[in-house]
Amino acid sequence: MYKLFLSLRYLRKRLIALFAVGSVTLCVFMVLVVISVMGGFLEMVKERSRGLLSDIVVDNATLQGFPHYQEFIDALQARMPDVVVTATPVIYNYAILRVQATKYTKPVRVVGIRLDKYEQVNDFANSLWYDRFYPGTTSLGLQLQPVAGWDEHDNRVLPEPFESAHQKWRQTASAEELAEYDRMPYSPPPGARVFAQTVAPPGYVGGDEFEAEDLYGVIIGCDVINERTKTGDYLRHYALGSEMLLTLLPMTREGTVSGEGSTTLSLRYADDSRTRVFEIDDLCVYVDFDMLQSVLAMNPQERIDGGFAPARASQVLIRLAEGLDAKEVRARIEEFWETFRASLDVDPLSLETQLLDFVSVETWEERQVQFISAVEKEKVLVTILFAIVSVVAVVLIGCIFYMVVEKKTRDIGIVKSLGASSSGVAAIFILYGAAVGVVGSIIGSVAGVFFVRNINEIQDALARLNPNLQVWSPDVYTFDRIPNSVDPVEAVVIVVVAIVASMLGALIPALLAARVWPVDALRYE
Amino acid sequence: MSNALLRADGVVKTYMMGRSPLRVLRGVSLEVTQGEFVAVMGASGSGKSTLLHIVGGLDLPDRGGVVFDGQSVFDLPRRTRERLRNTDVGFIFQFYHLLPELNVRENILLPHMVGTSVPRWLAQDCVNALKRSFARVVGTPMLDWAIRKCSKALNRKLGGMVGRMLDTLVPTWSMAQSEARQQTEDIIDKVGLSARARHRPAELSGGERQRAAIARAIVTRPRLLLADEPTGNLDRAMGREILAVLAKLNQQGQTIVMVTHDPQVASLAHRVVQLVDGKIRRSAS
Repeated sequence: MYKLFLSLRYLRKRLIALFAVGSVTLCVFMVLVVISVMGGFLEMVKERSRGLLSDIVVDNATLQGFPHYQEFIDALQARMPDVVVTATPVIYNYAILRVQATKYTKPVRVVGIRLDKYEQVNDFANSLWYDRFYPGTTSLGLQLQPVAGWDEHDNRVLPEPFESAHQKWRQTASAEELAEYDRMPYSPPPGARVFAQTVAPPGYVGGDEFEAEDLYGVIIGCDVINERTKTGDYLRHYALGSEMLLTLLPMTREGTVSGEGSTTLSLRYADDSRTRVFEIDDLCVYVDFDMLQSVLAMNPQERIDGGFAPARASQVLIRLAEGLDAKEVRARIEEFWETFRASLDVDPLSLETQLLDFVSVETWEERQVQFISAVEKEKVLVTILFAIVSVVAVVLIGCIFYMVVEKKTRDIGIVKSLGASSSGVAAIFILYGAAVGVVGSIIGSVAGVFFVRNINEIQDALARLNPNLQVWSPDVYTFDRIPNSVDPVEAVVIVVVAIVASMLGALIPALLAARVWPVDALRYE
Repeated sequence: MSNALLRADGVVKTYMMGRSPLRVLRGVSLEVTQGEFVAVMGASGSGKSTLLHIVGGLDLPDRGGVVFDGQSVFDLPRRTRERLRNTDVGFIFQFYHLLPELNVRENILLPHMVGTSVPRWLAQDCVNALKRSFARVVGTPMLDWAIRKCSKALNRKLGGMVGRMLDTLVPTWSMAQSEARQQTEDIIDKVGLSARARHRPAELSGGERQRAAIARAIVTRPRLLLADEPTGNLDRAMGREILAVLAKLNQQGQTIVMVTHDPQVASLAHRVVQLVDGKIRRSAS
């Protein structure tokens, strides 16, 4: 009883204990912030990697792609119907994007996708901006530019299917979502959502107008053409359906630029995608798979010898059924690929054979292993570094407690003369250390959680004071915002370790106190 | 004497002063019977305090032994010896030796805390809670008394800062209605410190501090009270006051061994033992 009583009393009455509490607070705060930010970064990397790829990726890592992908998809789905939910081919290439209206240009990575299937293999659907408020209207097929008009009450009206899609969304959207939508600036540009509008007198009834020419759609990475504000929102300078030009260099199967030279496509801005991975949002544009395949001459081509070169794709993305172990399934799919590959009737010396030889089957984690393991190692390294720094706190607590024991030598004698045991005296100081650890780690973890939760706001506030204090730049750190979640398990572990470390810091002084002989202690001045 | 409460047999104690040994006690033998008031006199450095520490189990003799109530103190296991110090022996020191962070009440309560485990405090709490419940059911005047007491204690305990709550709620509140608490209050009253119970030692006079030290020494109702120059640090008036308290305790049956160099103080005792150069020279009634 007296151990708890005296340790708590010393905690309150001894000013020096505040220094020990302060050092524990700082260490817990520091480690919690570092682990949370690094851990959050790692989780975001993993989450986004999975969301942007699929469970399994079949790829040959060349711009030419590989043939017989569709036969492989069909055979795989027939062979493993319970395992493979869906699979879709993807083409990757590079191009120059040009905004027709402003002549703004930017190099981009072109991703050819079958939108409906692509949305089934990963989380791409959640990244689309206009599709969120006008569900089902985003398409990569031929389309016209939607032009907003006015109804008889001078309210803005969008052409179908936008208007009815939006009204449908309003019925299911939450109050917060509706408020967010209504708060966002509309045309004229720049706004958060921008549509072309008719210039019409009040009372003009429109909303059913489209620009005349049918063009294929293009979904553009959010950071490619939009302007990001300091609050993290985007200003859209171009109305939905604006004409975009994409200049591509078709390649031959041999990997040389096609003799026909570059090809420029006229496309309609169909939506923008914000995956929150800056490297992707600042680089990628998405177009229709079949159209891109045809433009890049990756569709079936007639050969000089009279035969046909099969169509090619860069990648096949496979979505697995829920609950399956991706690594185990990957081995089975790899095995199946080898069987499939062996069953193909291709000339061993042909180019197709070489392209097929490059094909590998990987899980999304293996695909991103270099990036993920780099971040993982970085997290471990930083944690170790900060843990070493925290050892200073243990040493500091040791020093402080040594001083406390020195000062309390006579008290130790008094308590022992009242019948306290040596272990009891040691327990007073170990409990004192624990109390310091508990108080310090509670303050440190509360401050750490508050800091991590508000880390983006704190950074924004600092950046407003001085732009040089903008430590997290989206250009550098892949993600546009600093991870701000705290893992409760990690927080508990940090608190427990801090308490144990404080007790360890107090251990040696406590043992010294326990060894004090009562008569010597009572004589101590 | 057959009914000796305490017996020291040929106690020898030597201290090392640098490299040279200093023999403080040279075979001291002493018997104290139940209810006796013995004064140990001697010049400074004659070994009085060392003898007191050894008979109280605070120090070990080099040779010889101490028998308390028929038990050889230094043959007892360490835990038993510590318990003996807690329950059967009370110490009063010349310099009071009160814990400066605790108030008078807490200092006096400390021996009870040392001798009682947390589960026992909790058990006492439960018993007291039942008592209160019972009082409520039967509607006795005890109910009013309990509520008044509780509310007073709550106001007192919760009125302060959170830090105050932290270190008083757990131990002090849990024992609020316990027997130990009641016993402590009685003793505080007995030594005349009721008005000073919430004061810290630094806020008390020398006499008040020594009265608090006496209260702490007797709170567990020890069978032997060892006083080391209890008036040595006090003026004559305060010294008289303390001696009166000790005399009263002895009249109530308390066995006391008091070390002093003042013959006037020693005259209060039933028997005076003269310690000269580490040996008992004379024992007079």
